[in-house]
Formats: sequence, C-alpha cells, structure tokens
Amino acid sequence: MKKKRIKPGRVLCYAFLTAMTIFSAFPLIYAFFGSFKSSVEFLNGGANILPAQWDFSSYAKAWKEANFARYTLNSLFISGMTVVLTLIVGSMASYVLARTSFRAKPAIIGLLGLVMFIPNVVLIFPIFKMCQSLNLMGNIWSIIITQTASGLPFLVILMQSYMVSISREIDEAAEMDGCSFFRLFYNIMLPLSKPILATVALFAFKNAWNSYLLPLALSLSKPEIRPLTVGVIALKDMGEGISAWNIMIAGSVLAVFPMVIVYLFMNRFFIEGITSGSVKG
Amino acid sequence: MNKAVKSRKNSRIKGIQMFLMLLPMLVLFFLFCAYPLFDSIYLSFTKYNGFTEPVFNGLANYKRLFSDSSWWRAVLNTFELTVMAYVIQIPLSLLLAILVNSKIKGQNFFRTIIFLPNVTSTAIIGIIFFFMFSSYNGIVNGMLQGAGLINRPVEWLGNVTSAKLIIILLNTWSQVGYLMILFLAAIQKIPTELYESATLDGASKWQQFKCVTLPMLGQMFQVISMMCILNGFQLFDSVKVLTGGGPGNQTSVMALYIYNYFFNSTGAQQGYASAVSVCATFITAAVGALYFLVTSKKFKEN
Repeated sequence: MKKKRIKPGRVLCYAFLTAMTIFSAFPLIYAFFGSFKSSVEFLNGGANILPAQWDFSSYAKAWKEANFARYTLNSLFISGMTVVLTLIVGSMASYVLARTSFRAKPAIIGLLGLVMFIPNVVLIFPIFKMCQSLNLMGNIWSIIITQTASGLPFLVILMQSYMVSISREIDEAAEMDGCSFFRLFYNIMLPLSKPILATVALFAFKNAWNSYLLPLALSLSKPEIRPLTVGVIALKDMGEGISAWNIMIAGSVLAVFPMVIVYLFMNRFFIEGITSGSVKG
Repeated sequence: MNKAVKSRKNSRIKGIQMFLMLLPMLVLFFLFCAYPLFDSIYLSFTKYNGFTEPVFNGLANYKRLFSDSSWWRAVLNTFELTVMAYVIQIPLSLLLAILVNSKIKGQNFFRTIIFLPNVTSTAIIGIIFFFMFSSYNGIVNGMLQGAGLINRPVEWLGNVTSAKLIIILLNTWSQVGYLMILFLAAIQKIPTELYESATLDGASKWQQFKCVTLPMLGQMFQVISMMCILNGFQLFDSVKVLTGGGPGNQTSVMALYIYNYFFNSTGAQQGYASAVSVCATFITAAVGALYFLVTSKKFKEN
C-alpha cells in the first residue's frame, strides 16, 4: 500500500490561502462583533474581538437618534430604482447595439469604452450645477439618475456581448412571421437574456449601494436624502469625534452586511457575471 | 399596397423603434458624461466661484496649476499609490488564482471568502480600518501591545509613510479578490492539453507557469493590469475616509484634491478646480493609452 506523503509545498499553499482568508474576513468580523460592544468597551480598545457583554444600544441609538432608519430606506430606494432604470434603459440599448448595424454604431460602442477613462470626480461638479439649474438638487432622483448613468457604459457592454452570442435563428423566424422589432425584443430577447439581466441587476445594486462620491456631492444641501454610506461617514466628518464611534460602527455593519449576506447566498451570480463579462469584453 | 411599399414602410418603423430604444441611453450619456466634460473644459478658462457668473480669464488657471506644488504632490501620490497597488496586487492575485485553481480541498470556500471584500463599500471599510488602526483604542495596536511587540501605541494614520501603507493595505484588501477571479477565468480558458504535453515533456511547475500560463494569459493580463491602473487613478473613497489627505495634505490624491476645490464649503474655486480636472483627465488618459501601447507592442513581439 502506498503511504500518503505530506508535501511541504501543499502545506505552504494551504497556509498561504488560510492567511489570505483570515486577512479578507478579519475587518468584517471585527466590525460585526465590535458593533455589539458597549460604547465604553469599544472605546477602551484592547485586543479582544468578541464583546465582553453583548450590548445592542449602539443599534438602537443609530436607528433612532442618528436617522439611520431614514438612510437605510434611502439606500434601498436608490439602489432598487437604479436597478430598474439600468435594466430598462440598458437592455433596450444593448439589444439595438447587438442586433442591428448602422453607421454610428462603432462610434457609440467606442465612446462607451472611452468613458471608463474619465474620472468620476471630473464630471460630478457640472452634474451638480445642472441639477441645481433643473431644480433637482436635494431630490433623491438626482442621485438615482446620476448613479444609473455612471454605471451604464460598463453594463451595456456586458449585456451587448451576451446578446451578440444568442443565436439569430429565432429572431429570423419571428421576423418572417411579422413580429416587430420591439416585440422581438420584449417577447424573445428578454427571456433569453435572463442570466445576464440577473447579473447586471446584481452589479447595479451593489454599485449603487456602495457608491460614495456621487451621493455625497448630490446630498450636500439636503441630509435627508443621504444613503447609508454617506450617513455613516458624515458622522466622522461632523467632528463629534469619539462620542459617535459606536453609532458609526453600528452604521457600518448596517451598510456592509446586507451586501455580504446577499453575496454569500448568491456568490455564483457575482463570480460568473464577472468572468463572463471580462472574457468576452 | 404592393410588397415593396410594405417592406419599405416596415423598415421605416423598425428604424424609428431602433432610435427610440437607443434614445434613453444616449440622452443619459450626453447629459451626464459629454455635457459635464465640455462644461468642465469651458469652466477651466474662467474665474468662477459657483455663485456669480463665470468670467473668462484665459489661461490663468492653467498657469496657476503648473506652479501649484500641492497639486503635483497629489499627482505624485496618485502615481506612487497606483504603482504600489500594481506591484503588490497583480502578482498576489495571479498567485491566488493559480493556487485556487489547483487541486486543493475547499477551493470554493477560499475563493468565496477572498472575493468577499469586493462586494463591500470601500468608503465604509475605510471607517472600519480607521477604527482598527486608531492609535489609542485600535485593535491592531491592542494586539501588537498584547503580544509585546510594541511598547507604545503607533500613530498609524498620523505619519505619512504608514498612512500610505494603510491606504495601500485597504485597496489591496478590496481589490485582490476581484483581480483573482478575473485571472482565474482567464486561466480556466487555457486548454488543458497544453499542460498535459508540457508535463509529458518533463516541464516543472514553474516552467509550466512561465511558458504556458503567462503567454496564454496575454490579452487578459493586459486588460486586468489596465483595470488596476485605472482604479488607482480614480482613488478617492479610501483616502478621503482614512486620512482626508492629511497630515498636511501629504497623502492627498488627484480625485480628493479636485473634490476639495469643488465642494469646499469655504472658498471653493470651481474655475480652478475645472482646470485641475481637465489636467487629471489628460493624465489618466495618457497613462492608460501609454500602458496600452507599450504592452500591446510587447505582446505582439511574443
């Protein structure tokens, strides 16, 4: 019988992967348990990750006094509406770009690629100014529309490359039967594109939920429309200093863990979405 | 109606439908990308404070820009952080992709957890890192002191060098899993026959990596590197939250510098900020294009 030998290379490999896994999970674990420490215990610091005594007052405070109930609703609304808008606007555009050819098409696709080279911060002030002159400032829709527009180029390229790979035979048959261009899209293309639509929805939601710079600039004049990210960080900049730390850590957990939980259940979609997009695009 | 007329009518209807379906995206593109870019270029030639009408002042903003040492400091920092990110993240993520791709137990678990940071908000994680590395009650100092490695708490974020290291650490934390998945996808596209014949020829693992994996990655390697670089130039969230550019503006980066000039509540100078924006766009595009050209040439030679 052959005896199984333990190779040193293999051990090293496991050790390295384990170390990276701990590194990746540590800040999240630290934040999660930290949010259940009492204010005093959290401020005292030390080397303990677990709370000495479980204390839920940080959440109660964040929810009631620091307006986090409002911010959570805002985050949900902004991300949800961004997904809806992205899917409607993006799927139609990708369909046209995947299935037809016209003179301006290469230019449009080229522009979508180039946009990724422009830093977001360059565009945000003119957008801010435009919202002011359109009286959209302080309106939560200004955040939603800007967020949609900033995510579209990448997501349209993702959807377009998926739709190109769908066989044209069904289209042609339907067209022979007199199906119009739009009906073809609505009744045939959309159902066939479900996997990529799910991925795009997930991406759009994630990006909107985690976005910071855009909602920060667009909610400057009206704190009531802030999403969670902006709300949590505002506490740091407001100069309340250490007295707000426990609210901030509870807020951070509220802002981060919904995405973490969604990801742990649906990590297939995230990972496959990234790989399919990158390899083709 | 004869057939020809009908089909012409149909193609016109199709044309209209096509245009209407494309229109919403084009409108968003022009309103939120093309127009803002041109507006920035226009404003960069004016003196403008956001309240009174912009006044044309020629190249004054650009002249000021060239002698603005704190701007070039921010540019330098951006380059520094981007290069560091590249040097650390590309090899690390490639190594992780190879390890996760090899026959080991629990590869799905490792892959899932290492990618996990990518779904979190960098800005919020910035706050968490800020707590972890705070000098008097941060857990990092707590652990180091507990282990007897340091006597006094270290001021991680109060010192330029260590503050930059923590910014790099945070970015590595949030990026590496993503880059790993991209490399993994590219590696899995490489036909396994290549490895089989390499093994038959007696090639070692390292030789296989050097002569099969790396050349076959080719274009993907270029795309992933480009992404890493572009992300570096957009760096904002982590710096704003961790240091706010401090101490004394010495960890500032391009995006943060521009943001502060646009939205500073006291003394915002939007005309000047626009000129800086235009400069930043040029730098980003130039570096992207240069990288693309240099690497394309190299891949062609191979």
